[in-house]
Amino acid sequence: MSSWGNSLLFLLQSLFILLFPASTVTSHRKGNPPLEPITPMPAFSDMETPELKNQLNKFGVRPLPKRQMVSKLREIHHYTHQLLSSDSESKGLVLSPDPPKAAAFKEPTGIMLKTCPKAPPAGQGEDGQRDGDEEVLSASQSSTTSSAAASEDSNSDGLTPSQAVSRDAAKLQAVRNFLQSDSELYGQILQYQPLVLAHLQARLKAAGIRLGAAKLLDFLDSQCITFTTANRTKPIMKLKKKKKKKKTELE
Amino acid sequence: MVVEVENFFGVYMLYCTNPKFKGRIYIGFTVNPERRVGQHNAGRRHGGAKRTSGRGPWEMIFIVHGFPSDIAALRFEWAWQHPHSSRRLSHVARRTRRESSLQFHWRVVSHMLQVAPWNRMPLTTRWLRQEYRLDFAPGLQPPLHIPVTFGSVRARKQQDPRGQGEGEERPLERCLLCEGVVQVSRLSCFHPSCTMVAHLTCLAKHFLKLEAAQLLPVEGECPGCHSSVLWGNLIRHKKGCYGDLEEIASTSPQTHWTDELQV
Repeated sequence: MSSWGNSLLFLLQSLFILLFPASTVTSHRKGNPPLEPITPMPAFSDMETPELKNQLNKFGVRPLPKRQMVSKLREIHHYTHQLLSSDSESKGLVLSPDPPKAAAFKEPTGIMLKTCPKAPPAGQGEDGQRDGDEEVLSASQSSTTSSAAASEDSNSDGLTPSQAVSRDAAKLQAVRNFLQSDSELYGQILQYQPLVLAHLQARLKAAGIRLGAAKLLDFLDSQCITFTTANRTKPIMKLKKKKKKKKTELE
Repeated sequence: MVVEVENFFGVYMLYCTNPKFKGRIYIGFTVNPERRVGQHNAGRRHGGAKRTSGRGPWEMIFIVHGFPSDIAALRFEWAWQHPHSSRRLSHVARRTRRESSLQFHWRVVSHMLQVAPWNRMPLTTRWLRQEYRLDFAPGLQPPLHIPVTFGSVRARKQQDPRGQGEGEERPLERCLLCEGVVQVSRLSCFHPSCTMVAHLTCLAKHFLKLEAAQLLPVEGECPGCHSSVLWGNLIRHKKGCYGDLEEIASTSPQTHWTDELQV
């Protein structure tokens, strides 16, 4: 009878440990003070979707499914905020002084972090904003864009976001003036003739105007300027064989 | 009555009336809507798309036309087909359960007409089948220069390429705005009674007085006849598309048989 009771007690104990392993573990950990962020992380998980979108928009990230937005915002927060830690062996939430590895910024959700010590490799952060833009980049990834983007990044060191905005505005104004002053180009635009993007980029570069591909595309859109990434100077026969439709469209 | 349009580029919406697939929608691009719907209904072997082949009959119920080039139209088509991949439509929510495919595509195209670059293009929306007509949701009205029209439309071959010959014999003309001699890049009003002639860039500047941030005008007041004209129509006129500008409804006998066919 008593042996039966003992085994029952043992069973209950082991069950308890199985169910609540944490209760034993936490007591061990008490020695290490938890990490304290200097700026507390906003309660992203409590935010409404539009609010999350706004938050992401600050970093140039486009809306994602809600859960992904929360995790992305946390990731950004970890990269942009230092943690106050008393000991060094704590679990890697501390922002290391060396630049974040490019691997941390995976393609599909390219993040633009102006506050980072160094932006991820040329154009990825600012320009690679999901499928559409990637296509554009691959089509136009001539030396023009990548070198321009790279130099842009090195310039942006130590600029506040508002300075960056005004610098971009100045660049767009320069592009505008360039298009308007070139009578051939402007004539084309006024007659709705599509501009060949690669040509335009080459000419902008020659004129000393450097602008990332994504921003240039947004600008052309806002001006209702039709552009094509297909190179029309190639023999037209080839184009026609390869299903013209696929070649000319590109969002 | 069929409206005829020269230099036609359109993006259309097909509606499936086959009871098995009823309500399916297909978005496509065409330079000739009458021919295209026939191809869809005739099947893949006759040039119809794979997705529509064998699922007919399809009805072409709605079309957006007036695109200045095939490229512009094809990009519109792509974005309408892939709203969730388009850079310009990231704000358009996915289809809800309550929404029919038709309602969803209508919502997408309503948004498209509101964003760049399409909100500045000289487009026309047209319900080819009025019985399917949907209204724009409040707040999603298209820009004022994009009309909503009804009835059939026909692509017409350009009758004569007069507009191409800029250097042909013409009395010496002066730009109404800068008074300089107009030789190349000549723009003139398409109203029959108006004699306005101007440089392309002079008139653009004139039209953009109130929109200094833009490079390409949408519309403006003709400095000659003071009527409001669309920039797109001035350019069409320059390129030699006169027919639809004068709103000529077709009654020519040689096209009658196609009218019978497309009932």
